Amino acid sequence: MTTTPEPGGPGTATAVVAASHPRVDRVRQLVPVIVLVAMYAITVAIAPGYLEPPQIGSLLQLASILGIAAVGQTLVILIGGIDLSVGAVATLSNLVAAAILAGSDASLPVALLVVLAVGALVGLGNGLLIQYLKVPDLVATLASMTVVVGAGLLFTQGSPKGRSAPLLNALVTGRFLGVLTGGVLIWLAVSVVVILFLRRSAGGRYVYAVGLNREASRYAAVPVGRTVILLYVASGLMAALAGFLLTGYTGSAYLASGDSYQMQTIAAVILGGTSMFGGRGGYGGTIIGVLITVLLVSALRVVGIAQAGQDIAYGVILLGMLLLLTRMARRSA
Amino acid sequence: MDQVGTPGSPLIELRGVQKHFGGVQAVRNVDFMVPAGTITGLAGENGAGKSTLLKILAGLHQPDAGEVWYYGELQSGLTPASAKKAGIAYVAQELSLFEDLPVSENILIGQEPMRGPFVDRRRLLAEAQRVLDLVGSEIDPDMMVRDLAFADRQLVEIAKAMVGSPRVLVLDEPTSGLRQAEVARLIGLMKDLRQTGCSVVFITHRMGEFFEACDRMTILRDGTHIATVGIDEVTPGEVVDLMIGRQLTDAFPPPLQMEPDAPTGDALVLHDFSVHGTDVASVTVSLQRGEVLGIAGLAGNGQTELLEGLAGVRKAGGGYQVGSVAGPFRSVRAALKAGVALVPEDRKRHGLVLAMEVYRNLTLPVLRTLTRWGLVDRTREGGLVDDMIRTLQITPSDPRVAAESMSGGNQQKVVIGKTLLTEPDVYLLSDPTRGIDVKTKFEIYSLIRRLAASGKAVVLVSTDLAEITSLCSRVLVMASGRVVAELSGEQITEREITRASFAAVAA
Amino acid sequence: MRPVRTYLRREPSVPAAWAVLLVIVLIWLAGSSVSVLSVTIMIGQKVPLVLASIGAAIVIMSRGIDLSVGAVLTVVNTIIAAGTAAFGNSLAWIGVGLAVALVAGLVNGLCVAWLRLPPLIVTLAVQSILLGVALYVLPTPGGAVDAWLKDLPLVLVGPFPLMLLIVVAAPLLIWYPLRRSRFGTALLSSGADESAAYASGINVRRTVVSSYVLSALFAGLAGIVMSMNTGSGDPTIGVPFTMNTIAAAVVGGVSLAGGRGTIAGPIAGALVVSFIGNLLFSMGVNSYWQYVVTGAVLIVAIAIPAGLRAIRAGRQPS
Repeated sequence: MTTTPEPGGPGTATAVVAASHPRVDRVRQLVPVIVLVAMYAITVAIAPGYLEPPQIGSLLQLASILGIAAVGQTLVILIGGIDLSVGAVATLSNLVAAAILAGSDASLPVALLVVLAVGALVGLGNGLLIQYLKVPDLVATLASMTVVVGAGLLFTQGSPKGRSAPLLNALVTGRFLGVLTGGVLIWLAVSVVVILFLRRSAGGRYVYAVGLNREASRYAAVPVGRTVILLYVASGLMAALAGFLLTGYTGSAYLASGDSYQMQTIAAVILGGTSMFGGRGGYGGTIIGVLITVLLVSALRVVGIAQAGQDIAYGVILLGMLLLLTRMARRSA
Repeated sequence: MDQVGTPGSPLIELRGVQKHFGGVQAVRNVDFMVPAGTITGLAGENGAGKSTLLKILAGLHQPDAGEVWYYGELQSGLTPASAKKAGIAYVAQELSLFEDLPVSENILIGQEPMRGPFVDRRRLLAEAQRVLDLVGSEIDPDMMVRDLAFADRQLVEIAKAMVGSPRVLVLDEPTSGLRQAEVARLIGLMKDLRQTGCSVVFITHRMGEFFEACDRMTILRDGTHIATVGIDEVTPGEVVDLMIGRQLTDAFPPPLQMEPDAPTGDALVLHDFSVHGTDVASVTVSLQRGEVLGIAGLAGNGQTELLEGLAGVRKAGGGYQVGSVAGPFRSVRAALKAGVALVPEDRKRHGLVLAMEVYRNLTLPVLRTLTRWGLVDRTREGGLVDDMIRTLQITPSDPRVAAESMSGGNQQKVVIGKTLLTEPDVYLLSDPTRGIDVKTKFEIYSLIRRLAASGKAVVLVSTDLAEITSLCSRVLVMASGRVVAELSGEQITEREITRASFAAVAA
Repeated sequence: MRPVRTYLRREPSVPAAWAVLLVIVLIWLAGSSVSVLSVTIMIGQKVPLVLASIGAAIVIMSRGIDLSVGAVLTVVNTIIAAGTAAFGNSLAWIGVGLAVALVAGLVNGLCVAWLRLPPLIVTLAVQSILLGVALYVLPTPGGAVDAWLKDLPLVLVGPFPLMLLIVVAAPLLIWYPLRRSRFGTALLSSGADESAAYASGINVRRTVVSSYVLSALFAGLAGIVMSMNTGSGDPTIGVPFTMNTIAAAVVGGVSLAGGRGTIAGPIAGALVVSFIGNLLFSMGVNSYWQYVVTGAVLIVAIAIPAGLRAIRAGRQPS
């Protein structure tokens, strides 16, 4: 039996998932699209050049790398967690890839394998810490982020070496159909796999079930532990892949090149309507969130506001979106 | 109106109070009175409405109907805070102490004596010591609650209630963890309070305590007031009879004939089985196919934990054989594979993912068998889901409805449907009909009969004695994690079960 | 004597943290050359982390988390540096900086306690906003600081550096009275069990908001001290702080689940974390290892008690 009634109970938000409501879910899906359209309209108003296919292509190219990095973040947030190490892993991947490639096409497969292995390893570490040692996801990924940053610094001793291979550059930046780059096509392929996974596979069902109610999932024979760990591994892999593609895009390696992805992937996932508490949303939303983010960055750059403005804008929009979605979900509960 | 505190006039009066939760009527039209200078015992089985009644009395629940009177004045807008201020001190069954704060701060939380902006430590300790002495505790008020045993924590909770010199002390199972000497001391405190014109109301499951401490007893059954008697007007046996009564409303389907080709033999054998992290231990029993085994006893004595240990939800140890497979099982999946499935006690938190659609809930445990090349075969799934909805008559029949929008009875049907789809040999049902309408209850009983007749084995944990006595061919009574009685055949009566449950607790 | 004994009994992690610190310091001393001046400066450099960790610990005790600590520090630091460089009068800019910190803390607290948004995302968003502000105010490291402020770390009070006194005085002057007031009990009870605290008459909302405001205030103070130490501003200076303050709190025995902790613990924890750098340097190890070691320390500090608890419990991992 329930006990004390709580008139407007106070305090921190816990992981109790708000009641689902068809209206809320539609809001959750619709609002990001509306924001995207508005964002695009504003961007075009500021800089008409963004209506042109080449510009759209550039935007998509930027979006593709962020989008791949955001795959992992989407999965992890869906299960009720978070991954703060995404940016650091992308950076490390960039540093290692450039060093191994050293401008030579022959090293491409090796570089890719090593980079993916590192990402998977970090993800595995995160997963094990979170699942078996019960380290809160925030702290675990924060700690692994720090370790990875340190690893990157140690590896390069402060000065990144190496260059991307021509084949990779061509793959990532080469244009198909005049508009789409190789990077975008890769993103497309990845998106299809992820969306298929989440919507149609048993594993995808497990992800949503665990995100909504971990205990009940356990009682229903869902392999909770394995699912959590695999998702963090996936996040590490995707972050590493993003860093690899980033190498092809920029042509070389820079310290902290991927660090901004930490904030951007979280922003993209939330802007896309996925719930911070888990169990609701999906990668389709993240794709929209990614596009909004990329448009935002471009628009700010055009207007002349540099990094500072971007950071402020992220924070404000993030808070605003969070407020909107959380309040709507709570009100219709 | 009667004067406040005049001997014989009630300090508290409840008139015609009613309270329901969801679809269940917990308290039906009860009149309850607490005269000044008395100790009243409140008795009844699990689910009789005792705790709810006391919570209404102490302002924690608002009754749907009826009135609450304090000292001859009708109360409106009663809250726990205003009840406390009026001198009604309530101690809940569940302890709510802060482990990482010392005893003294726990006792006076929210009302610490101040000296300027700071807490007056000296007065804090002194007052804490005063109430601790009152309840006869020798705990050092500087100790952290974390380091206290359960019995000591209970005493701290009672001491907390004594702050501010209450006029009515309301205790919900205050003695469950206490030893003899401490119980005696507490009863002494109650009698001291009585001397000063204050009153005590308390719930316990130990008959002996009622007869030692109380002047009068009120017995509830099924949310209804059955009787209020002076303690010397009644015997313990009569109290038990009043508590049990006769259930007139529930009908039970008759047992079915075993199907001719139904399998027989042992379904499940336990030897010295224990569940880690609980006090369930030394359970030895064998379960036959076609049998419905009941597990009774006062709630919270390990019945749920036993089933969870059998189903792979909790780690367990000891001898555990299911057919040719040896347990204990390290995961729910392993248990399902061996043919053991659990319908959990808490259907909202453990039985279902409420925010998820019915069809997803139904097929969650068996998804592995419904996939083709990693993707879910929606056609096959749809077929199974529709079949189950039809078979169990789940309403609404749209599988895309979210589970949380359904009634309790239908939610339970989804949980059962989910279990049926895993096709186990052994069904573990933990309080399956709690909070469910009568019609659905009957459907579930019929299902249990059918399962037994087809050679499945069913273990039924329930606090509804009518259920247990009507459906089960054998009953185990549990107390403190152990099996204290095994009843079969003629012995399975509500009286016997209640006797066995109470006898075990009288320590 | 009794209060001390009780105190030690209550929080075994605090003496443990201080013991670890002692060991580290001794090892370091063995391998380094010291002078009064170098020690004074060194202690001064550790003060920002100590102060920031106190604030972070307070929030963690309320079962929250504050990822914006480093950003508040940065914003205050850059405001002082940029403001002084452009208009002089560091004192005024200290005031402005603290005001900004207060607002940040209020935003955090209100979002978490009133709007019930998850602390992780809220403080992450605020962090982003503040870093943006810092970058806007001072795009590249530079700026200036009034002479009197710059010279404070060198001030000696008797034989002791002023900074050392601050580190020692902080718990006594700030935490002790807080703990001894109703706020202390309110904080720990709100963090342990929100609804039970509310039922006991605690104003949980106000307590939680206060914890975030205090955190921002301490981070602001840390930013001021940072300006003293460096004599300039740097928009990226606060980045490692967030992680380090959490590590400091954890090493100091504050539970991430809220409801328990002290201030003496995180102070020792902050000193431990900041000494890692000194230790590695004196051992001749590449200073980049600092990151790896700090991350590892945090993980170990959490994993050990959690692992022990998991082994002791009979329940299967979920």
